[in-house]
Amino acid sequence: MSPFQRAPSRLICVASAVLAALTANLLHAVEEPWQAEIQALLSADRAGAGQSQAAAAFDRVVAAGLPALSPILTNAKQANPVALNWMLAAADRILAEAARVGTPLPRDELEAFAKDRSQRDKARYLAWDWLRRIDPSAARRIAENMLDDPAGPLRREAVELRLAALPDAAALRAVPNDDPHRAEWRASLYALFHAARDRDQVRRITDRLRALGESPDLIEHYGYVRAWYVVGPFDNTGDAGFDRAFPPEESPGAPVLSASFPGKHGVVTWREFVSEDDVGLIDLNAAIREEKGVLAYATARVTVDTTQDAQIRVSTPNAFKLWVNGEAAAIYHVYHSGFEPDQYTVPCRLKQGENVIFIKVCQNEQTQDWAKPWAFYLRVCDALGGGVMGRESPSPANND
Amino acid sequence: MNLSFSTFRGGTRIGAAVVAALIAAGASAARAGDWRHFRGTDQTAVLQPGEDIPPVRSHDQPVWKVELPGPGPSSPIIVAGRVLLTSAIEPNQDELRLSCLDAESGAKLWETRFWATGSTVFNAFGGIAASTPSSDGRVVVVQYSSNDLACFDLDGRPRWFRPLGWERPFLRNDVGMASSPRIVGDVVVVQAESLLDAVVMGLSLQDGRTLWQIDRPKQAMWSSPVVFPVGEATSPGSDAGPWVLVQSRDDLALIDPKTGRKVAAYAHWCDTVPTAAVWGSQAALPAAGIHLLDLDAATPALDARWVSDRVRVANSSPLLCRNRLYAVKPPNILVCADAADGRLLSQMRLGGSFWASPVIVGRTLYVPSYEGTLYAVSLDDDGVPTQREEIELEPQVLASPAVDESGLYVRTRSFLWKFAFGPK
Repeated sequence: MSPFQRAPSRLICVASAVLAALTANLLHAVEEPWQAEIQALLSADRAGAGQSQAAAAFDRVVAAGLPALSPILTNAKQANPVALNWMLAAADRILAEAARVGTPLPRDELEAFAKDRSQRDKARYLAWDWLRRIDPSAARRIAENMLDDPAGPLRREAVELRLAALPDAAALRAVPNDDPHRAEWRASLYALFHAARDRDQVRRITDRLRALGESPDLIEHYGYVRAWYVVGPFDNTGDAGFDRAFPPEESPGAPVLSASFPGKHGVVTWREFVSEDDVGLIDLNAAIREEKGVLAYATARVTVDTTQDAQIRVSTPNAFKLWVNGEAAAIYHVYHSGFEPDQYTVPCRLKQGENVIFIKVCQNEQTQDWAKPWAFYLRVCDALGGGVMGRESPSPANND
Repeated sequence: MNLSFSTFRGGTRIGAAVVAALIAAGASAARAGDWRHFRGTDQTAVLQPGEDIPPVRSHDQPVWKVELPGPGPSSPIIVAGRVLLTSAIEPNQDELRLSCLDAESGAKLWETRFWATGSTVFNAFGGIAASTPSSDGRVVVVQYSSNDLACFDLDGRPRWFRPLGWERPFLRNDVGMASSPRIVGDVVVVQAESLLDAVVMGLSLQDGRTLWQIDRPKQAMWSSPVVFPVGEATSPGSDAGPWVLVQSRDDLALIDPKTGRKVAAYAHWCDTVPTAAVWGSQAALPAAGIHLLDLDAATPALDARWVSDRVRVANSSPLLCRNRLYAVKPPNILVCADAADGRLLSQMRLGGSFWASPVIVGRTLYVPSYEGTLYAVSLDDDGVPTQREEIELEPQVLASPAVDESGLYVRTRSFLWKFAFGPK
């Protein structure tokens, strides 16, 4: 074979190789053109950072359509709160656009993602929400197994679906004691009670259990702390006491409950106060005295079975400081700006066994009627809001 | 559950760069009938004053009534024939929604959602969706009590998110926050003031970045920024104004929205909930009574023309229109005064209590009570209230009405209602 005859063969080989390489690159580019866009969405952050890039990326992944859905949902795990909103908005938009033009939505993919507890909770909820739209029976079916789901929105849906299938409180009140369904309903309602975390659901479940003559333990369910030692009043005239460390504050991790201190009006000592309230409200106006320009300290012990991350959720209209096991955990120097459940959420780490909670609650000198409350309530719970089953220790600790 | 959220009509997909160019080119001219911000496009809460526009009457039925996905004290706005409204989904109100309805039919055009990043502690009386959106005719900016802000185009595509509540965890009020954002040119003026943190910011309309910010007195405020367009009118050819009025417990500040510079101030504390009314070069400032202020744009300065504690408001903002001042005095008395000197011209007892602020359309003043009665008060040639009619809605009305040339839009707890002007 002459060189001229071999040349074309070599040329064809080289051309083929080049063509193959180009095609591979193109295919790679075509197969995953949205990876850069997902990175742009994930890069969106505080203070306006990355927003223009995220907006452009949003438009491109939406244009990519359903093939981009799965990568967006799975990458939501890595997203900061701003990026998460971008990712979920993109997923919503992709699905809405597909639905609008009549493209079948990926039912199996949505179901699998919704069931996958390793995925981001809000992304799972989005997937389940869309599944409910296209296959309500499938959504109901998988919700049956979500009573213990770590994703709050999904757990809520699971509770709601089951609750809707049970008689309401009025009907239950009318049920005779010997009704054969009574035990079954009771068991179902307790299962829902233990699963529910949203207050409106807990309230409706509680109403139904009470209609059956039951007394569900809300204190344990929410993790409210009822048994305290309190001491005061100390002087907070002119709000000067907030930043002043009175003697009890010198040992917030190991309060000496037998000690006495100079208070605003004379010697004060620790006194036990156990709240009978549904939420463990400690009304300091009653426990100590109703007065303005004062502060008090309160301490309690909570026992948990294992070392764990937890939350202390404080409700108070008063300025306060909180310590957990002697470590400063929260400072909120604000008066009479609301008095709502779970008003302040303080993350903490609880050690196995006994933990010391110590709180300083200050009352200022506003004279309006709405400035009268000097009170707090507090609960210890997990991130979903369930009580961590701490056992309170009302007996005086051995701190002499 | 309404599962039709996020549906939308197809349209041109506009990339971020194009949107940015549009924003940079300036807002679209306000369409007749747009109601783009809290209290309207010019924030006077007045549409076609003195015109013969058939009022809503007691026997009128709504043109449409649409169930909302969640509650909220925020008012609707109207842009290019679309009604935009925020909500938050119960019970936790951490899922934030923006709905877009066709103004003529009430049909949902699209609805978008995102999640709160700041505090969602609130008093059940109000709610997280408390701030009224603001639009320049091309995009809409929303703000929630969690201090989450976002910008969407008119097809519901997000353009930016700004999580102020996440950035500043002490920026929170546990009864809720309610100041509404205000787009001025290519700046979004944001007021967020609470006991532990307080700021007024100018954000870029293009991407939500901070252009300027002013640390403010740490006091709770629920009033909203109001544009005073007087600078343009009185200083032709200059780059003065428009300026923005911002209330605090220290003063009423007049701020340049481009830079955040305080150009003038009225050194008197302001009421915390109702927002100052503007008309021409006058402002009616709620401050334990009303301070009627004249703006001297040349100096500039805000000077009190008169102060009266006989004309006062509680939660409902006052209204200035053609030399008349209107205020709902607690508990429920509609007061009309001469804006020139504060003389009381009339008082009309209404019923119930009021959080919503009045609007005027033609010769009729509308204001809904919290208990759900929409009052339609006729105004004579002198702007003085003469008689009223009552239209029953549903209770728990916190939002002020919005209006366009075709009708009045009122938000109750669960619904958005439209009542038509003109032949029924």
